[in-house]
Amino acid sequence: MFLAAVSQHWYNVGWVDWLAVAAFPLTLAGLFFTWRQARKASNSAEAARQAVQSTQQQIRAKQLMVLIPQLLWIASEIDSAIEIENIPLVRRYLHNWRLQAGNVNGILLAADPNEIELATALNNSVSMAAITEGSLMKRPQATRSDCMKARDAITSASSELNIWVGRNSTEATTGSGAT
Amino acid sequence: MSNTDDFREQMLTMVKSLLAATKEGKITWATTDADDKYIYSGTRSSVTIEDVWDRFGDRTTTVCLLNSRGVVVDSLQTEGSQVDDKFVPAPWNDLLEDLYHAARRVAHNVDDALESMMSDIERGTPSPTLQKKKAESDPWPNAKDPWSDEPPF
Repeated sequence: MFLAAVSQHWYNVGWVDWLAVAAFPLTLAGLFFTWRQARKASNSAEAARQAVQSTQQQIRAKQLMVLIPQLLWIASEIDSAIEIENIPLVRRYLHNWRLQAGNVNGILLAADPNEIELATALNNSVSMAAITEGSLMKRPQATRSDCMKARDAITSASSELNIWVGRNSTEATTGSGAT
Repeated sequence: MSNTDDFREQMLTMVKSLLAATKEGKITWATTDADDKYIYSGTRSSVTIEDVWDRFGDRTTTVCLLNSRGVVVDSLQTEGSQVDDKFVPAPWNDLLEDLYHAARRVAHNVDDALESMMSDIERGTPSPTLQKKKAESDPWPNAKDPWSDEPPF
C-alpha cells in the first residue's frame, strides 16, 4: 500500500493537495494585509506623537508670550531703579530678573533648541545680574556706573526677546506649532 | 579616586577646554561689574574667572561655574600647601593663571590695541600736542601788563 502511494506520479494529486496549493497565495495575501494594518497603526502612532509634540510647543510658546512681557517689565523697573540710584531696589529687581529669565530660558530651549543666540543672551544677562547683585552687596557706596554691565546685558536680552515675540506671536496664536 | 577629586578633574578638563578655545579665538570673554572678573556665557551655564588680592598681597585666581539661575555650582581656585616649611603650589595654579590672562586679553581687546599701537609706531603717527588755553594762562588778556596792580579798564 505504502509502496503503491510512493510510486504514484507527482502530477497525480488529490483534492487535499489542491487545498494546500490554494492555501499558499491566501497565506501571502493574509501576510500582506497584516503588514498593511501594522503600517497604518505605526503611521497613526507617529501622527499622534507629532500632534502631542505640536501641542506641547504651542503651550510653551503661549507660556513664553505671558512670561516675556513680565520680564520686559522687570527690565524697565531695573532701568528706573538705576536712574534714581536706589541700589537696594536695583538688587531686588536684578534678583527677580535672574529667576524669571532662568525660567524663560528653560522654556525657550524646550520649545526650540535652535534658539541658541537668544538663549545665550538670556543666560548671559542672568549671570551678569548675579555678579552685579553680589558686587553691589560689597559696595555700600555703589553708584549707577557699578550696574551698567548688567544693564547692558539685560537690555541686549530684552531686545532679542522683543524680536522673538514679534516673530512668533502670529504662529503662537494661529497654532502652527512651530516656534 | 574620591568624589572631590573626580569633580576637580571635571573642572580641570573644562578649564583646559576653555583655555584652548580662548587661544584659538573660538570663544569670547566679557568684562563684568565686578573688578577683575570676566565671564563667558553659554546657553544654559556660564563661567567666570576672577583675580583677587588679599590684604597680605597674596593673589588668588578663581574659576566659577554658574547654572542657568546665576548660582555658583562649582569652583576651582589657585591654592598651595606647606610641605617641610616650603610652599608647594597646586598643579593647576599655572593653568588657572593662564586662563585668567587669556580671558583678560580677550575681554579688553588687548591684541587689537597692541596691533593698532604697533601700526601707529611704524607709521610714526604724531600725538596731538597740548596747547595752553589763552584764557587760563592770561587772566587779563586785554591788559598791557597782566601783572600790574592797575585794573585793565
